[in-house]
Amino acid sequence: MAINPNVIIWTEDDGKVSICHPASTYSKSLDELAKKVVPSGKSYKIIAQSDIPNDRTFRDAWKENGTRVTEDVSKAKTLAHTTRRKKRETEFKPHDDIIAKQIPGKSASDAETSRAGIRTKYATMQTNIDNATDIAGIKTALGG
Amino acid sequence: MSTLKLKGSSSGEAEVTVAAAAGTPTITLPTASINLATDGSDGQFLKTDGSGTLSFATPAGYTGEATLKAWAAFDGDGDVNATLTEGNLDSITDHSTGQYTATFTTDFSDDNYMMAGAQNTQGFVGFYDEAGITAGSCKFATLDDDGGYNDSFRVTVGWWR
Repeated sequence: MAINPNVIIWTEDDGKVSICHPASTYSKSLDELAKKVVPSGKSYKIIAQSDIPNDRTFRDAWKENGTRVTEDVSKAKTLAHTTRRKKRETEFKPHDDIIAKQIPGKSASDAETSRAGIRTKYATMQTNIDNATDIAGIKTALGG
Repeated sequence: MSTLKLKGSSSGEAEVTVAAAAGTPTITLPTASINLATDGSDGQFLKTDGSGTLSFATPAGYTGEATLKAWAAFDGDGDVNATLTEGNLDSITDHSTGQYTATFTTDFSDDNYMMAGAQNTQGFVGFYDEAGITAGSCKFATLDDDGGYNDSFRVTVGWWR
C-alpha cells in the first residue's frame, strides 16, 4: 500500500507539536484516525509531510505555523544553549580531573590554561547564538 | 548382579536390575494405577500428593508463550512516514525528541503487555509515561544511556501478550 503523504498535527499543552504518521496499511481517512489519536479538546490539522522540517536538530522547538510546521528561533536558542553547555562540560572534564585529582605528571597550571581557552571559545559561541537571527545562524554558531 | 525380566504379553520385555553394591533398597509401587508410557503431556513432570498417589503435572508459573501482537520499525532521525513498516498499528505519533505513541489497530485485552525494542548502538527503548500505557496505544521513548531522549536512525519496537 502507498505511503500516505499527509500527517495529522496538533499542539500539546506544553507547546510542543505532535505529528501523527499513519501506517501505510491504514485504509480509513485521516479524520477517522484523528478521532482515535488526537487528545480530547485539541484541534488538529492535516498537512503534507513535506511541510515538516527535515532537520530534527531543534525538534523540541517546532511549532504550528498555519498549515506548516516551522522552528521557533527563540526556543531553538534555548536548546542551543543547553547543547553548548553540554559540549563545554565534555571539553572541561579531562582538565577538571587533572586539577581536582592532582594527577602526577600532569600540570594543573597547563590544565587551567586549557580551561581558560575553552571558556573563551564557548563564551564566543554563546554570543553568536544570542546574535543569530535564524535557525541556520544558530546551527553555524554551534559549529555546524 | 541380578536382573528380573518381565516379558510383554505379545512381545518385548522390561528389566529391573540390582546394583552390584551393598544395601537392600526397596521400591514400593503406589496403590493407584498410572501409565508411565502414555499418561501426561509434553513438559509435564511426575508429581506425588504425599499420600502415595502419583500424577503428571504442569510446572508452576508456566503460562504459555507470549505472541507478538504489534511491531514497528522506522527512522526516528528522519522521515517517519517514508520509513515506517509495521504490524497491527494504525499510526506512530512523534511528540518530541525521542518520544512516541504507537496506536494499535486491534486493541490488546488490557494494558498488561510486554514491550521490547532496540535503537542506536548506545541507549535503549522504554516507557516514559505510565498513563500512556493503555490497551489501545502505548507511549514509548528512545533514550541515551544517561536517560536523555534522543532521535535514533533506526527504531524497532514490538509488543507481546
